[in-house]
Formats: sequence, structure tokens, C-alpha cells
Amino acid sequence: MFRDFDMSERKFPHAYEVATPKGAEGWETMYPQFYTFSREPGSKRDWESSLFWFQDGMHHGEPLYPLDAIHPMAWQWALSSYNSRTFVVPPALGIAHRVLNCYLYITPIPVLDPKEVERRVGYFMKRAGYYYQNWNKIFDEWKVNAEKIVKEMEGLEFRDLPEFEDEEVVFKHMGLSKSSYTLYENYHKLVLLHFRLWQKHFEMLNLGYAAYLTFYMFCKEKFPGIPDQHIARMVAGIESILFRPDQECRRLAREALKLGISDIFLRRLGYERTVEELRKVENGMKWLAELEKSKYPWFYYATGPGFFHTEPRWIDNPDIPLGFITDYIEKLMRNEDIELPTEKLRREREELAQRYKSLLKDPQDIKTFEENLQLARTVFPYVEDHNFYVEHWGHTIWYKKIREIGSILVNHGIIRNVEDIFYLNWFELSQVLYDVCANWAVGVEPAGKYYWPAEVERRRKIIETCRQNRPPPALGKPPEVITEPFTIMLWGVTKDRIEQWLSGAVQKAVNKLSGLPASPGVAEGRARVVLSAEEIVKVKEGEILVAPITAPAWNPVFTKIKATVTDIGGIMSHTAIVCREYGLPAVVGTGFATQVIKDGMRLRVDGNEGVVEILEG
Amino acid sequence: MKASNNYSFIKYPDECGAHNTHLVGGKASSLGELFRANVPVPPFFVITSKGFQEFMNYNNLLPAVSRLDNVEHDDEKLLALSKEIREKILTASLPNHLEKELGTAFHEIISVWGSIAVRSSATLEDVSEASFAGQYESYLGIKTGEQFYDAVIKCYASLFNDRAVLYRNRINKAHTNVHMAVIAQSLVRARSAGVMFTVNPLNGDPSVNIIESSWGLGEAVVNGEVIPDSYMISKVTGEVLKLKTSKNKPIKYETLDDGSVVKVENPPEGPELSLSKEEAVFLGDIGIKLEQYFGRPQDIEWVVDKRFKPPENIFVVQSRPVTVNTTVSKASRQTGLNIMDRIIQTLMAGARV
Repeated sequence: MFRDFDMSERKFPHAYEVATPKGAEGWETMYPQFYTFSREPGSKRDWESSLFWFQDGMHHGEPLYPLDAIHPMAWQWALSSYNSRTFVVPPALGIAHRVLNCYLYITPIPVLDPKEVERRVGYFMKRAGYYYQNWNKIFDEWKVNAEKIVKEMEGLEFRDLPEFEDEEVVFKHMGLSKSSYTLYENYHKLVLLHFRLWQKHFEMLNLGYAAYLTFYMFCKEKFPGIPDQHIARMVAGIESILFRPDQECRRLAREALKLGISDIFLRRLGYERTVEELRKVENGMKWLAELEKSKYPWFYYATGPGFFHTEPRWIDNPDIPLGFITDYIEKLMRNEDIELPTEKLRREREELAQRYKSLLKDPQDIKTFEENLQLARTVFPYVEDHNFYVEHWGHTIWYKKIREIGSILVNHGIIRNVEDIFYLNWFELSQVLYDVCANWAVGVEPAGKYYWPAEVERRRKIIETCRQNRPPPALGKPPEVITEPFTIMLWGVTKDRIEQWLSGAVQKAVNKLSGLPASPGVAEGRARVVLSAEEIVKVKEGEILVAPITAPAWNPVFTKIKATVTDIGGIMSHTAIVCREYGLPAVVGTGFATQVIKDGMRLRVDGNEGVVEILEG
Repeated sequence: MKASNNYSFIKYPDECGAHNTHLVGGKASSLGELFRANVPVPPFFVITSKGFQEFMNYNNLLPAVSRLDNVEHDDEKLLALSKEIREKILTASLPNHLEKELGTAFHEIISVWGSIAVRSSATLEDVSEASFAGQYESYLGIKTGEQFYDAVIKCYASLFNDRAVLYRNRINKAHTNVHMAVIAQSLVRARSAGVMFTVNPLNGDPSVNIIESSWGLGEAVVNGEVIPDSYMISKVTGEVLKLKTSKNKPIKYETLDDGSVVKVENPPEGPELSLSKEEAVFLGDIGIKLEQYFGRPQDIEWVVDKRFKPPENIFVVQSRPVTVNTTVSKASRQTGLNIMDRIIQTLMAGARV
């Protein structure tokens, strides 16, 4: 995929040159063979080494648990098929995946033969053109269908195997071992629905990014100095459903005040005891009824990017939304405004577009600007909203069902704890369920009972070792040009980013980090480093959040903090979108913030310039 | 500053502009245009060409000037005559009523600003500023009435400098038709100064103002003796988009009390910016106003006065059009394509890494 590139020093190590951390030997066995790099010389290794791979810290910033690896597998397949074979994006095929030391690396595969690119244009025109023309209608259908898939997943039942089959098997002539066959079948249905949901995820996203990128490039050509965030602000929707869970917390806070029960919340008793107290009073019962209305589906909400089973989800950890609700109650009692300034944001969005447009002179340019902006705005609600259906709602149900299977496996002695199921990959889980079902039928113990518990322990240690030993941010030689829209828009892989990775790889004792200026403003304050979703509860009022990446369910935290700094993320990343919405300075894609910055350090975050300074350590 | 006045020979900024160059001269007319564009200029007043004529008449110097017009193809004679005129002017005095009027206006400005600069502003305006540089005189650090009258008379004499006279002859301009207005302008104590472009001169981006700034008077930046601090300010939102603090600002030009300009070494300012972000943002607004007023991108010289606080400390010294090809003056790469072709073109181009 590389054109001539002679700056030989601009290079990262190859995968086979990266050592396995001591204690993580054999990590490869946790993933299917096709999903790891080759260490042995040969044509597979040669091909892998000819590409530029970068770590997808944005979605998979932690070591991949074997079962959680189904998510990147699902999106590799889905994203790629729309690019390469459905819409036939002329210069781009899909995005290839490999795991190294438990971390996911990805690389966009371009189409380099100009004749081949030309041949693909006709297909793209016809197919993508159809989607753009019918965008809103297709998106309306999309929402209905995505919800259908989620609900179908939700309807799958997982029951442990009985001693004897129900007699209806006999009297209804069912002709199968209903309990074991259903368990085995529903697991595979669950996997297929998960893949199916991910196919929906990318149905419109690739085209959405392409349309956005077209407006983006036009702006950059006419106004070379325009900050990325101005382009995003001209396009961004004001009311994405990703903000809905947070809106529900605000609503419930107002309800609590209206019902005169806010003192119960202010005692911060935790979810269980708060509910207990609320049940004692009539207005408390009324509030609990309101809570139930909000829960489905708005609390099916991940506190991370949604790709890790370790991210608490609101519905399973109601202390999280309750904390946010209580914060809002306190704000309301201090007479602070908790409404999002949507009108103001809408006005600002129009003004910004109007002002840029007024700088143009050529009537053709003005027309191009208007058309590009209009299309970007048309596609954008999809770009913003699709995550809720898949990574939040869908994945919450996926994890719920997987844990149901986990507790069955515990009963059969395959694993000791439900959570251990995540140390098996999805192909292995299919084998294990066969083992359980078939040997249940035979009437003996499953063989896995004498294999998996020890194997899970081994894998647990590998994951922990890899968590402490993050491999390089990229592998191989950077290409000259990247044509894959996701790589540009979502991961923000640009010249500057690669330089940063290279410089960061060399020197880590720095007091200044640069990244993308994602949201304007300047703030100073103490750092709070949050490495995983569980740690968000540590964030205190007035602190600066430093994280590998943020997720929509952290939104309420954004009303507490002064600014945000992340390791990874482009202008379309969640952090960028939310910080703009909340009017907080943000610098994203610093590469190393979470490694350099420690809790309590005083920082200066300049969201206009994309610079983070450590003022005192 | 007065909006209008009852003086016979004096005009204030709001009365100066392209419409009355014959009265206030080229330089004052440009300053008046800045004032009309509603940007801050150091306060000034102008002794109009009527004052000059009054002076010449009173001292009976006009016949000598007429004789200049009759000299042809004899530079030696021309220069001898000019010298004679200059000497006569320098020994002449202002008519009482003129001096009285000047005195009143002078004391009004000096009571606020401490010292002023006196600059010539000739009514010959059909040549660019640059080719006039150094032809007429400027006098800085004027503090008393006597110094002021003296400087005004010296300005009058400078209309008959050798170079000015030869130039007028070369372009066939009658000496009797050129008059000298004089600007009395408050003297800014420069903390910092520099230039601002209302378009990015490097890539033609019309959405930003580019500012370069260093310590002291603007000469340090204009002469290239320092690496200035640089700023890129969004014209759309007023944000500082890029900022580079230079560590290489070794010297500065300063105006001393007596009005003389000296070059001195800068104390090592370290990472200090010569123009605060706040000031840069104010300056950006000034750039927008000037570009709007003149209808095209401008190259602006500005100065920050150390005695005042922002935004009252920022003054524009000069603004002239720049000829940079802006990105909006040529068609986009996407022009003429339909939206699908634009998307394909975008995907093909990709992002350089």
C-alpha cells in the first residue's frame, strides 16, 4: 500500500520486532489464528510488515479480553464490506485487524491501481448516490430495524439444562433435545444477531463520513486556517440521542425537586437504600415510577466506548446515574441552570456557517458550500445517533445474555465465576457449549471442567501483564496518503498525529503535550487521570479529566469538570462532540497524556491551540 | 477629540479624508480614513493648507514660489532658488492670528499626551506614500509651544527640499499648486508594535488575521531585525487559533523623551509575549473593520502604548491594501462538479500523512 517514502527514520517497529512482555507468553492462543501477527518469517509476515498499523486506542484501548474481541471482529467485517463490496468506495477497501500483545492494531487497505479505482467509480455513484438521495427515509427505516434486532436479541432465552427433557418434547413430537439444542442454538443466534447489528452499524456510517469529509475538505481548501472544530460546529446536530440519558437524569432531578423529596437523595445512601427510603413515601413511589420510564432504553448505556464488558453500564450499576441525578439536584438547589443551551447552540451554529459563507465570493463556491453543508447536516444525525443502538443498547443486552450463559457454565464447572466467561473467545464458547450439551446428553461431566478453570487463570495473568505493558502506538512505515474516510475522520490519523506518536515514542519526560484542539477555551486545574470506566466516580468538581478516551455515558461528569484531555480521538470523537456541546476546553489525541500526567498535577489546557501544559507536578 | 471646530486653519480627524486631501494633505487624509473606519488612531489635528497659504502670503513668499515654476531645464538655478525660499521661510514667523489658533489646539493635545510629533502632509497626492518617504520632515518629542511653531515652520520649509522640488519638476507639477498641511499628532510610547495582514499572506486564507509583533517601535519587525511573535486570529469567531512566542527578539527601537529614536537591546524576556492574547483579539477586530471599510485585504501597522490598558492602548498607524491572491478569488477544486463527483474527488485525494 505504500508509495515511495524515503524518510526512513519515520518508522515504527514491525510487529515481530516487539517483544512479548514477561509473563504474557502464549497470549496468541487467546485469539483465532487469523487475528494475530505472524512472528515466523514468511509471506504472511512480509505482507503484514509492508503495512502501517496503528493501535485502535479509541475503541479498544485496553487489552482485548478474548470474548470482547468479537466486537472488533464484527466491525472489521461490517465496516470493510460496505467500503469494499457494497458501496464500492473507489480508493478504499476495508480495514484489516491484528492483535499484538493483546492490543488491537488496524490498517486501512487502499486501492492503488488507478484503473481499478476508475472501475469502482461507476458502482459507487449509483449505489452511494441512492443512499444520499434517500437518506432520511432510509435512516427512519434503519432505526426501526436496528431496534428490531436489539429486541430479538433481548428475546433469546438461556436456561440451564434439566435432568429430563420436558414431556412436551414427547407429546408434541418435537424430535430434538429441546433444552440443550435451544441453548446451543440461541448462543449462535446471539452471535449472529450481534454480527447483524454491527452490519446495521455501518450501513450508513461510511457514507456519512464521506459526505462530512467532502464539506470538511472544501472548508480546508477555502479557509486553510479553519479549526476542525469550527467545521464540526457548523454541522453538528444539537439534539443527538446520545445526550438523551443525560437529559433523563436532568429530568429526574427536576422531578425530585418538584415532588419535594430531594433531601432523600442528598443523603447519598447509594441506589439500594435510596430506593428503600423512597418507597416509604408516596411521592417517592411517584418518582420511582418516573425512573422506570427513563430506564428503558436510556439506561442501557455504557460508561465507556462500549467494547469492554468491564465498563459499568447504567442499568446494572444504577449508582452511576443516581450520582449524576443527585449532582443535578444539588445544582438546582443552588439555583444553577442545568439545561443545555440548545437555542444558543443552534443560533451559534447558524452564525458560524453564515460568517464563513460570507467570506466566499465566487457564486459557484457559495453554492458548493451550501450544498456540501446541507448534505453534511443531513447525514450527521446518523453519525451521532447510531452508537446508541449498537454499542449502548445492543451491547448491554449482549453482555446480559452472555452473563446468563456464564452462570450456566459456572453450574457445569467450566468456569468458577460468571465474569470468567470473557476469557474464552466466541469460537471457543461454541466448543464449550457443545461439550456441555453433548456430555450432559451422555450423562457425564463436560471435559472442559478439567481444562478451562486453569486456562482462565493463565489468561487472567496474561491480560494483567499486558495491561501494564502497552505496545507502541503504531507499527511499520507510515504511508504517504490515507484515503479511507474512517481513518481520517474518526481515528484522526494525520501527519501531525504520526509525528506526535514518533516523538512520544522517543521522549516521555515532557511538560507539554500537543494534540488536536477539539473544543475551544482555556482552563487550569488539577488533573484526574481516569484509565478505565470504573474510575469515573473519582472525578471531583473542578478537576481536569485526563483519559485514554471518553464515552457518552460519562456525559454528566462533563458538568463537573473544567476541561478534558485524551490520548486518542479525532474531531468526531465523543470527547470532541461533548466538550463542544458543554462548552469545555478539550485537547484530544495527545497520544500519551495518561502516561505523562499524574493525579493532582496542575494543568493548563488550551483548547484553542491543542496544548496541555503541566504547570506543576 | 473635537468632532468639529470653529478654527479657520485647523481640522480634526473626523474632518479629514480622501474628500479633502487638497486641504489636509495625503498623510492626514489617510489618517482621517482610519478614523472614519472607526479604528483607534493616535489623536491628531491638522494645520490645513490654508494655514500654509496664510503664512506664505503674510510673509510675502508666494512670488518666489512662482519664480520656481518659471525655471526650466536648469537644475542648478532651481536648487539655488529653492534654498533661498527655504531660508526665507525659516526666518519668517507665523501670523499672530494663526499662531494663536495653533497654540490653543496644541495646548489642548499636549495637556493629555505630554509630547507630540509634527509631520508634514503635502497636498501632492498622486504618488504612492513610498516614493515620498524622507522627502518631507517629521519632528518628534515636541513639548512646548515654541518648539511646535518652530517645527511647523520647518515643515513648511521642507516643501522646498531639493529632492521634493526636483521630483515635482520631473513630474511636471507646478510648485505653486502644492501646499503643505502639517499634522500635530500625539506621540505614542510604544511598548510593542508590528504589522497585521487581514489575509494570510502565505496561503491566501481570508478567514484569519495574521499578526506579527515585537517590543518597541514597529521598525524592529519591519526591518526584520527580530523574529516576531506571531498570531493567527479567526475573523469568524475572534479566537486566537495559533500563537508562536518567539525567543529571538534581541533588540527594540525606543523613542526617548526628546523624541529621538534609539536602538537598544531587549532584556531577555524569555517566553513573554510582546502582545497579549487579549490585545491580539482587539487588534483582530480592528483588522476586520479596516478590511470592511476599504473593501479589500489590508496590511496594517499598529502600535501598543505602554501608558494605557487594553483595549485603549492599541493604535493603528497605517493601513494599506495588500495584493495577495486569496483562496476565495479563485474557484474551488470542487467547482463545477456535482455533489457525488465532489465526494469521489474527496475520497480520492485522501489525507496526506
